[in-house]
Amino acid sequence: MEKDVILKYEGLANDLLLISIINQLNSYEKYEMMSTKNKLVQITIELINNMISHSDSSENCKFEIYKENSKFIIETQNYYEGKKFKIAKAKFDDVYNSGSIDILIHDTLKKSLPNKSSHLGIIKIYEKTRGNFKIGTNIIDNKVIFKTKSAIYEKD
Amino acid sequence: MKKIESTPNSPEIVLDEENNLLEMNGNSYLSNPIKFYQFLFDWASEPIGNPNRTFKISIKIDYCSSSSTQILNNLLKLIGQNLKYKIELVFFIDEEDKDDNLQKVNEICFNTSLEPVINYYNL
Repeated sequence: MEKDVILKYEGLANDLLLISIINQLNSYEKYEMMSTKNKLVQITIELINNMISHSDSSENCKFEIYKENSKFIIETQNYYEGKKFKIAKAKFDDVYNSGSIDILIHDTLKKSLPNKSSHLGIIKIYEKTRGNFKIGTNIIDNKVIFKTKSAIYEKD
Repeated sequence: MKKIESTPNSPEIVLDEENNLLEMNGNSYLSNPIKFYQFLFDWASEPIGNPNRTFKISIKIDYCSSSSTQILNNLLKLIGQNLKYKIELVFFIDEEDKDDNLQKVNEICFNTSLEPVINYYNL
């Protein structure tokens, strides 16, 4: 399979990085449909905001977007300590076991507070990728790497 | 009147209480959106609007993170609770990605008791 790397980054994740990546995704010219670009941007925003806001070390993040045949694949990795990872994994499992994403979004918004994360981002990634969203871990000492892999298809 | 200029990841905001107007225009994908929007929560915590005029809220948000969606939803809930007079809520959305944009509007307005008017544009 031919792998066409669009963007690859390792290091500190912050707002400036996200702005730079969104600019580069906007200038990439090989989208067949505008909606694909918008989905790719939305998923990237959620994944990088997750790295900035929820990881235990935003200095050691990895991020890659590549195209493989007709699919765009996004991979991210960041550090979580055990407790935080358990919370994130529990939210992820809630999304996977949910009968209806719309109901889950509405329930999440009903309970949300302005100054508290509701993990709506995980739900939105699942929705935008139509469930093509995986999470994996590699244990390193007392830390784990929170690894996600998201894929979106170029054509509906 | 208070005006905040847009940045690549935050919208321009115009809050003109004299003319019963709140406008937002641009992207909203900050990692800590509550820090940016806090002044609007402070403003909306008090009774809003002039009894003789409609208060207009105009929103054109392009890229919007889920945390910003959540913040805007919370803000509109607060405005809905504290607004004593008529409100006109208008969204401007890109027609090219109509379905996703309509979904975004529905999420921002969910459970707020406000009925948005949708205006489409095409770049």
